[in-house]
Amino acid sequence: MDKKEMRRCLWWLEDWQLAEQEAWLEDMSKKGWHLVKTNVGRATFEKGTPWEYRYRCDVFKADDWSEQERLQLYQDAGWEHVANRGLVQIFRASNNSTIPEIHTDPLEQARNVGRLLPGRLASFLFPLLFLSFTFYVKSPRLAQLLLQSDWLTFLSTLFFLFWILMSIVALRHLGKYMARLRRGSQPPRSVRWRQAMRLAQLRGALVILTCILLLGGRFVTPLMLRKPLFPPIPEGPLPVVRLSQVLDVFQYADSIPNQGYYAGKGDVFNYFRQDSSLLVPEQYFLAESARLQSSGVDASTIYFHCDTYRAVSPSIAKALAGSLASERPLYPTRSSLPLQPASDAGSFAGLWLLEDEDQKEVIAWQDSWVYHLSCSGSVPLEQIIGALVLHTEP
Amino acid sequence: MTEAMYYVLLALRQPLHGYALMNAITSISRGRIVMGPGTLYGVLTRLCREKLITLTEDDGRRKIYCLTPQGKAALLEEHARLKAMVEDGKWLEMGVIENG
Repeated sequence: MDKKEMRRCLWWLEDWQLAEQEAWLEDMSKKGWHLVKTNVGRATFEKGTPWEYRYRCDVFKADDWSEQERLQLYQDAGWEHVANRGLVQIFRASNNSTIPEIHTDPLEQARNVGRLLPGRLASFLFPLLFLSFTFYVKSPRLAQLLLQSDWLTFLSTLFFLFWILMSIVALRHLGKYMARLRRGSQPPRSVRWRQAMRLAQLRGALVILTCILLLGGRFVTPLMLRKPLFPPIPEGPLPVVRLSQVLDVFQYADSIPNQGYYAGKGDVFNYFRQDSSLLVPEQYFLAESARLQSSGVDASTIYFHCDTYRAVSPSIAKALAGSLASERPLYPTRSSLPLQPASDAGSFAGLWLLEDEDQKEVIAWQDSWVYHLSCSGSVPLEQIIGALVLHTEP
Repeated sequence: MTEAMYYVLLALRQPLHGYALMNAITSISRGRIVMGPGTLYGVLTRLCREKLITLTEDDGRRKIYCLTPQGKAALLEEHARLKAMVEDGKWLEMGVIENG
């Protein structure tokens, strides 16, 4: 028995591109490739005699038992049900004038096509709600956006914006198609389906590539390159102010065993971590803790943090420093009070301070660099600023 | 009532299934109206919802439709309306068209 030649193609065109899909399938049939079935995003064609078929897409749920009668009626009228893509049912008939069009009343057809609208509307609203949720409900601080916006965030935001744009294009296309039908005109029969197909291919390839990059970047790479949360402080000079530059004599506190989520992830009070983002490519985080000795009596433990950032430009550094000072807290362990601008910024372009009994904080901005120092306990603020000035001197 | 609805009601002088209805409509309208299956199915669904037609037999894939008393009344009313409209325009057939 002869095995029929089959061909599988990706179904690039979207379900709302009704006239384009019809024109594409008709073109395939003229070349001898007749549609046999559809799978998710794919079409299977069978090689046969080139034939001028009429393909028509109608919109209804064919798996609904009550619609079996409809399929029978179409079949009695000469229309073969070939396949479906969700709500879009694909019918085929010979190019024979005795077989009437499926829809002879454009108004009736407009009602059918309107069934695609809820799905398209949902597809438009989903990314919009997702982005709104991310940006308004979670309300990330400007500093968070600047510090955490890596290329993946940039790419996923672009992806969602592209998705919204495509949904608008789909809704506009459907709207125009339905308006034409409502005016009493028949659907367009000469459409530029090749152009639509090329655009759909480009769009599809972009979506597939973005999905691979996002999945790889979000889930696979972090698993492969798992970074420790609290790596130990290395020896040698670091691009941060050290606690030893602030205090003359101190003794490191004993490491506190981490429990719960942080268990086994390092010393939560003594670490040096590096990070980067698109707009702030250099980010250094230092945490140090020390036990102060006072007349041989264990007086108190000091917790010190110094975060240093290098932004891509001074204006980004300025925005970052301003956000860190006012839109707090970025980290829940620190005070939630905003820092106040210093009356005299000294050698810095901007200086913000916070001083209360338990906590001293300094944020300084100079060129593309931002420094954020915080120290618990009774260390004088001047001492912290002095250490920072010494550190930043050329 | 749309033209399609009127002709579907008109063709249901006797109970018919969908495809037979399509042919009956073409025959009654002397070939002027060829109704596609998609259009016909939409009209049938709407007429059923408005209780102007009903099913006499339902063997799953081919249902047989017939007029309900409300359907008959609606058809007669529409026919009378159309007839009155034709009557109103009778003078057009006499070739007396006033210009200006």
